[in-house]
Amino acid sequence: MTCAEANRLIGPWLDDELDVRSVVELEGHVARCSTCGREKNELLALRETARERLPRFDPPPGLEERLLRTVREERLLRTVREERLLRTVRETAAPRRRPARRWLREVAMMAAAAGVAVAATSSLQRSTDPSGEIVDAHLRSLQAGHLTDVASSDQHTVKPWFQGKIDFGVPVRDFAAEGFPLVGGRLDMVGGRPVAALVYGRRQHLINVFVGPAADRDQPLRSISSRGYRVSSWAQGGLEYRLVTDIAAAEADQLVALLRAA
Amino acid sequence: MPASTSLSDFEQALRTHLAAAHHLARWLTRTQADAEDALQEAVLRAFRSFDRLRPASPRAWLLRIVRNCCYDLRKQHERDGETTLEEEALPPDAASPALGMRPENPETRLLRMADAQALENALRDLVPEYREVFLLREIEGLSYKEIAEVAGIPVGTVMSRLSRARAQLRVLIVAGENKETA
Repeated sequence: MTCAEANRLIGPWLDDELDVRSVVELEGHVARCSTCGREKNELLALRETARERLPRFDPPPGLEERLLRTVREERLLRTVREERLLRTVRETAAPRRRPARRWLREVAMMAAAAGVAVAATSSLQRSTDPSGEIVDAHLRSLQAGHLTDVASSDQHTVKPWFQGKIDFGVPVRDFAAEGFPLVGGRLDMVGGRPVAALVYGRRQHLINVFVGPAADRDQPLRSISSRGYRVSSWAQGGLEYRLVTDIAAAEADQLVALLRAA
Repeated sequence: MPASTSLSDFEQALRTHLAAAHHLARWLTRTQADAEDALQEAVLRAFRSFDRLRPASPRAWLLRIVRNCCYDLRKQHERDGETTLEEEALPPDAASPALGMRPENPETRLLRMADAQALENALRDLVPEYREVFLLREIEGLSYKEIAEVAGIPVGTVMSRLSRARAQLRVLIVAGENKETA
């Protein structure tokens, strides 16, 4: 075996990637040749340095939980999409069978009511947490397969949809250019009163903005964290806004600023 | 219900390999924030295809997705007009006159365990295609076949890249140490 051949094989040998016959031949050569012996020792020194001295970048605390939450949200979104697709298929496949559809809708409403009841109970148990109700409403929107009543990124579709369903005007703006695309809107209940819920996306996360009539015309912005979610509330122009999300506080504040400036 | 079993299997795989995935992402991106963005995207991509693929080696499969997300993020940064480092162009695999060095040159010998900072700097100076094969081999302990799977290259290319990575690292470490003592 020549030194050039040996040189090429020393790496794979130390990596346990060499066949037995070559190993025997190489061992013989390295034992006799000081140049190749030194090559072997250097590769081992390099490996030892890498394994023992290179900084190990451990995942920061909370990263695993954030990633797992992403998975859970994605799973819920998939369910929502599948249900929406199923509904579309049903409606286009059987356009005349209205009674059947109404029956389905009643079941869905009963299920939704049950969901509200459960959420209401759990928020009673957390009555010390003033933002608990908002977080519950946010979670409910993700879990009940009922994220939006009107799924559209077009503010001119979402805004008129609310008209006639609630007795106050809802400003609807899409902030896709700023990184917060409008996903849609729905009617929701918070504190026993109907509110408009606007849904925005941020990368893989969702943001609910609940809008309802304000007790005071203007209220300063307040933000608090509750169970890993950030709730920001304020009032302006006679409307009370409550924004809830699990994205980073700085990003949530960007959307708050956009909404307040709109 | 298959969906719920797949979630726990997936969660399990993610938990088991998160440290390796994070470590790789940290080395293939410039900042902690970039590493976490790449991981976030990788987790979504992985979750979406997990049921369909049921990978035999979840570790190599997950690392491959993480790796690809890191490269995508880098390309995106480049498109956004952020500066690209000159040395981050991959020299052709055919010849390795990169940096005009020959590992057998006695002046470029690494005779003992190197300083951690010197190795870290040298690794950062390598093109990511060389950096990743070195890390996957020496830190994660992957076989050539697994590295080939992660990097999407033939085993022969793994071997040649690894050999060049080691040669260049030694030269860069020695050059760094000489500069310091000069």
